[in-house]
Amino acid sequence: MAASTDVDQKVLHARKSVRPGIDFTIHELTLPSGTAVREYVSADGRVFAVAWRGPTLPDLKQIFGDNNLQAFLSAPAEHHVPRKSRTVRQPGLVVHSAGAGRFFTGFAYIPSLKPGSVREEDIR
Amino acid sequence: MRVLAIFIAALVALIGGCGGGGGGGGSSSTGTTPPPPVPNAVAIVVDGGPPGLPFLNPDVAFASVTVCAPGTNNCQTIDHIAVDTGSSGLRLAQGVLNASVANALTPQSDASGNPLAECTHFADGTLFWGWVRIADVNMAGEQALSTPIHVLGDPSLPVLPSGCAGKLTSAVADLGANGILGVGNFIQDCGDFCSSVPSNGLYYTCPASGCVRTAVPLTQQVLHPVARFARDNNGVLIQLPAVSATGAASPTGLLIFGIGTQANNALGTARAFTLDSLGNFSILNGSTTYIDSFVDSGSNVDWIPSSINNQLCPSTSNAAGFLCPSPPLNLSLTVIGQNGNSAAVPVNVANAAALFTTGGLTAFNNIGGPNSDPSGVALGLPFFFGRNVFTAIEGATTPAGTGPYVAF
Repeated sequence: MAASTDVDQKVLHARKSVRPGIDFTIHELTLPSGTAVREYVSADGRVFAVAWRGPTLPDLKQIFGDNNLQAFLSAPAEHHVPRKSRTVRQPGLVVHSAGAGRFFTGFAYIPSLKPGSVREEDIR
Repeated sequence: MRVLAIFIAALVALIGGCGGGGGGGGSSSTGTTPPPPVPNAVAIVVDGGPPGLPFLNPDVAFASVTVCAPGTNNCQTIDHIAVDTGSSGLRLAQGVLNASVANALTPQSDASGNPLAECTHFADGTLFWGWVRIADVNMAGEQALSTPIHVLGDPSLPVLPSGCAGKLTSAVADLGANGILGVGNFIQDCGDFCSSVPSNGLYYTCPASGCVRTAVPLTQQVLHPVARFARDNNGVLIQLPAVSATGAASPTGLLIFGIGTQANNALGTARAFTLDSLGNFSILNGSTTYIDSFVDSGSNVDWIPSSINNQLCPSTSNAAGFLCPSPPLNLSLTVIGQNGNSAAVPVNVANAAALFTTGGLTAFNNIGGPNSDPSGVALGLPFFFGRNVFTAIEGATTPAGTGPYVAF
């Protein structure tokens, strides 16, 4: 995932609010388009998950990091019906991305970095 | 911009001046006499894709579109353009335009005269990179004059900007079509965000030094061609025949322009389901509400979230990527518009691998794919068979109220 929520905020021209939790902190970035990007930061300061929802697809290279984006693009998808939905589920990366027109939503996480108390459905 | 405005004004004057003999101008009507109706329907076919495609592309509705250099008879009719109510604007695959037309389309340019390009992102990481060109887009008797379109993969395109990251797609074989005709709910493909925020990441201005992000006025963005028509411009109706549960071979239907504007596009018993700001309505399945639901002719499946079914076809089968539920799904869904209108919608999903074993079949009312969005059920082309489905454009007046909405 991304190296730093502060860098993402700057590069994505976003507003940021922070919600502290016990095992993780949610940094919510609001992009100029209105798309909300939530970055999940574990207690040791690492971004282990992101989720997004809004009228534009966020810059996946920025919020995933280059290596994870390449893994998303090159992984054999669970399905090949094109463009509107893609799920990648690998030992090192889980991505769900969907939407059409002016609607995009999705989430992604690194299983090895995700705190054990966090369920997949908590990342939205 | 001023130069461009004058140019367009001159063009309109030129076309108006030439229109007398051809009957295309429609400028001679006076007083309260309505203009005579024009042919407002084009054939669509669900035939698996353009000839030579290396795979069968089921459940895609294709139309032919005529593209002309603005204000000229230098035109080309392109077949197998996918009709997509999930996007707005005409996009052409790499190499489908002949050189004569391709070179004569007017480059869309910014205030400094630099050409504009667009980077369009899709949820699966696909991206389109192409010039924004101005064309007259003609279908049936309708004309969308001087309309910005997206021309993918032109050899003259500058190198992809670093901010435009994803899986670059422009070839016919990768699109499964010669282009995409976006006839969705929005007038522009991007809208206010791209006209007000230079860092929008979709539009780029491309001086010789390289492409940089830029804001683009609404009227210069890639536009819904139907919204540019002189009449029948408030939306579209897609009519496809019912098909059997075992599939059909190349059924044909109609893409009809306008809603309630002519005898062939009356709403009849169809009711409107209005949409939220993202273009979605809700679908109820049992006691679960899926708030991210929508209708999209450009999806060749009904997208089913894993909470309903997650039985993928074997990756080694001829239907890898589709759903193969066992037993087949017989869902009783309820569509609920923002306006409170609701309708029961039966949705069936059968084993796609079994359906695809019969050769030559290209249209199915019961194929599904796994929706990556746990909160949505999306109704793709399978939903359209045997129904009249209307897609109303934002802000447009129709007999069922102002768009945007979907009606069926």
